[in-house]
Amino acid sequence: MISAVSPVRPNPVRRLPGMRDFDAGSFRHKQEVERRLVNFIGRFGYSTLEVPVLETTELFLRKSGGDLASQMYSFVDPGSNSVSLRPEFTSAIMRHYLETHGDGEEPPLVRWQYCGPVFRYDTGSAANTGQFTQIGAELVGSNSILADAELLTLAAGIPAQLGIPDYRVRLADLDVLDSVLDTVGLSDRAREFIVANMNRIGEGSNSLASTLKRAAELHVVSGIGLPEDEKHLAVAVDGLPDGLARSVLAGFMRWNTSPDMPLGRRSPDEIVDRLLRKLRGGDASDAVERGLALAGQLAGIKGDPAHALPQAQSIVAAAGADTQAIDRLMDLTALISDDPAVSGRLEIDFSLARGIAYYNGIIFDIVRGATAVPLGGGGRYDALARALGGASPVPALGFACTLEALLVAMPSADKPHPDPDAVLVSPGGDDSNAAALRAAADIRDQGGVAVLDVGGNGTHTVCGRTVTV
Amino acid sequence: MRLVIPSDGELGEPTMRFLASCGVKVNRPNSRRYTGSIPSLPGIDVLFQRTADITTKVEEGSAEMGITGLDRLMEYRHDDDSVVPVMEDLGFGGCDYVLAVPDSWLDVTSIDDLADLALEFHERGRQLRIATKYPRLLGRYLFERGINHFTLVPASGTLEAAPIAGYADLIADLSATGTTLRENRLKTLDGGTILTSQACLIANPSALAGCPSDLELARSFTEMLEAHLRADPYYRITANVQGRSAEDVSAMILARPEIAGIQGPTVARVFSVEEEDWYAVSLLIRKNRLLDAVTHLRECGGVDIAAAQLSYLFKGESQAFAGFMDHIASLNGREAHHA
Repeated sequence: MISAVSPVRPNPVRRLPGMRDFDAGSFRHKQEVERRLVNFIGRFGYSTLEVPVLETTELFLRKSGGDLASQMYSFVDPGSNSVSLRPEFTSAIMRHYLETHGDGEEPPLVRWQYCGPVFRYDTGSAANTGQFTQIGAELVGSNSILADAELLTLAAGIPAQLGIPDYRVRLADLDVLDSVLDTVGLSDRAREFIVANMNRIGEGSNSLASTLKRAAELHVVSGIGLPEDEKHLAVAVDGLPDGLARSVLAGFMRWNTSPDMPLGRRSPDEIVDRLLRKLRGGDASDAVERGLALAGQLAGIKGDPAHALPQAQSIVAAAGADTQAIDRLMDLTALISDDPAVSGRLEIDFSLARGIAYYNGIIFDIVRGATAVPLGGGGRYDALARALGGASPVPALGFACTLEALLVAMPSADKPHPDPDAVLVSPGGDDSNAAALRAAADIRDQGGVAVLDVGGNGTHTVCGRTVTV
Repeated sequence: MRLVIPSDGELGEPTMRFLASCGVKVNRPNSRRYTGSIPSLPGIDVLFQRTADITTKVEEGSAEMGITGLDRLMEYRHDDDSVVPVMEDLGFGGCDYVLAVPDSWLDVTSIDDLADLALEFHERGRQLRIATKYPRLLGRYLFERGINHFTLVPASGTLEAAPIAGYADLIADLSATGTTLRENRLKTLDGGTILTSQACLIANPSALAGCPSDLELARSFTEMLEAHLRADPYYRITANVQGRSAEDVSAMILARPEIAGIQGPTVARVFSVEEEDWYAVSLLIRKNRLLDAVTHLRECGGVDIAAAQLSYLFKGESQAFAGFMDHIASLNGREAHHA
């Protein structure tokens, strides 16, 4: 016989990783900062828009190009919909814009601000996991340079308002990168690959070689990276017109497979099409290499606009590229250079470029300190409306800051102290309970704060004075 | 201390055999009873559970230790390290968790192709559907490789049929030999192995840290398993060799150091009735060097050469358990840091 299994004491229920409780003091501080910033953004004419915490997963996937997919709190709701807690606001705001302003109509100008919780789960980093508060603004319906200038000064004004001493605004422009890549003549696919790898390319010439190798693995470069038996196929269809090449491959496929073979949900034609694209596809290796080299030159430019922009200008000129984008970027930086929140804090850094298809124009982030701790960021995303199913592109730009990061960066905040106006109403004995209740009610009727002493520890610490009834 | 092991399924019988071979045989009064004991280690209660539930049982503290598949541990454990592997490879229950696509997909041979295909599907407003038993492991694996557009179809049982039935495009499944995949006209991908799995020993560090007597039982149990696995690649060889002295005999044997035992041979005088110059030699030899070693001993004049399976090989301490104790220490450090 063995002994009976001993009963299990239930484990204590704990907070989820990355979730925070704000106690009275830290909550009041957070709320106050929030109010100041909402008020500040409001002074630019931005009105508050509230959107749901829960949306379809697809909405966020379209916005991020999938980059956020691994970090979302996604689940299937009781109605079998794939839904996610929002990891950011912009896509929901754009969805709202498209729902309220129908197709065909001239896109109206709106200025919206928002503030609320967002949720991200980063398996690699406890610090980036959990619930955060984002505060931000979106300017939809204008492609004017003045709109870019307004949004940049507004975004830079956030850390300035809070007295954060060591913040910087790092700025890049995707149109400038595009203008340079235009001179090479690359496919969309190769171009997307280059933009997606800008931060890697910016690290120097070694990374250029490894990026080119990665391009081959992903079949962005033609002919390279094919397995041995596919090289033979590539030779077999070399020089054939597409239609004939398809027939050859379809024949090859019939020869190698049988009709009862599983296909998943793909048709034989789809398989042949992709096989042909893989064999043929990809850009010429020297074109990709030249594109990477040009992007690498741009990615290497870092520093204050007065020095960095002339360098970028000479790269654009040397490549024989259209100068409209670089001219606009120089005009923009000149326009905002005297703004008190921007002055002396603006840096050009082309390695910031992100590989999300519908971003265009300016892209920026706000960081602080030598290690560039992120506070927020933003940019222009005229093509997002299309990605979300809109009829045409809508010029739009926006930014968001993480409130928790701002709170940490603020100069040592006022310590929360007791509310000096709150009165602790304390019954003198058991027979004065009724009187104490009445006294507290009277104080509240007159607009005061009355806290009833119900025993327990520590009640008095929140009150400025005590009345014994 | 409570140890939870698989009651049935692919790991059920092999676990019982493995524990018996380690000298910690489990007594189960009959197959309908869900408790048992280990006579050689009194104080350990054995619980039998479905393999799929074992990680959770250890995590929630209904048992302090358990044996399960590494695949199941990785799929079901929480991120908070409330259950950790003590020994990741018990040497049985091996299988790979792999992605497999239809043979007819001539254009798809690697994980990079799959990434490209997922994008192509997405651009056409469709989602690649992948049927799998372990959505969490698979999701992470795909995300880490930049594959973000897919739908996972949770399924158990005969996944291989999904691409034929058309409810999924491809599958991720456990495969020990690949035969079932091939018979269903599916192929694996270059870089498409999500996890190489086998049976592992797991424990709940905070539950064990709170009870010194349980911790001691856990150490003894771990040590039996570890010493047995460590002994497995070796034979003990003994032989009688004639020579002038013990030094002389050992010098002959040591002429080939790679088959002269882990530390070198043990040589001892044989007190023979007829002749006086016989010595007994004893060596630990890797199993794949057995015939080399026998030949070498013969060349040294050895006779009566015997080779025996080694049951245990103990080191100064249990390495697996030392690693686990480090983990407990770091756990305490973390709590102290929070406090």
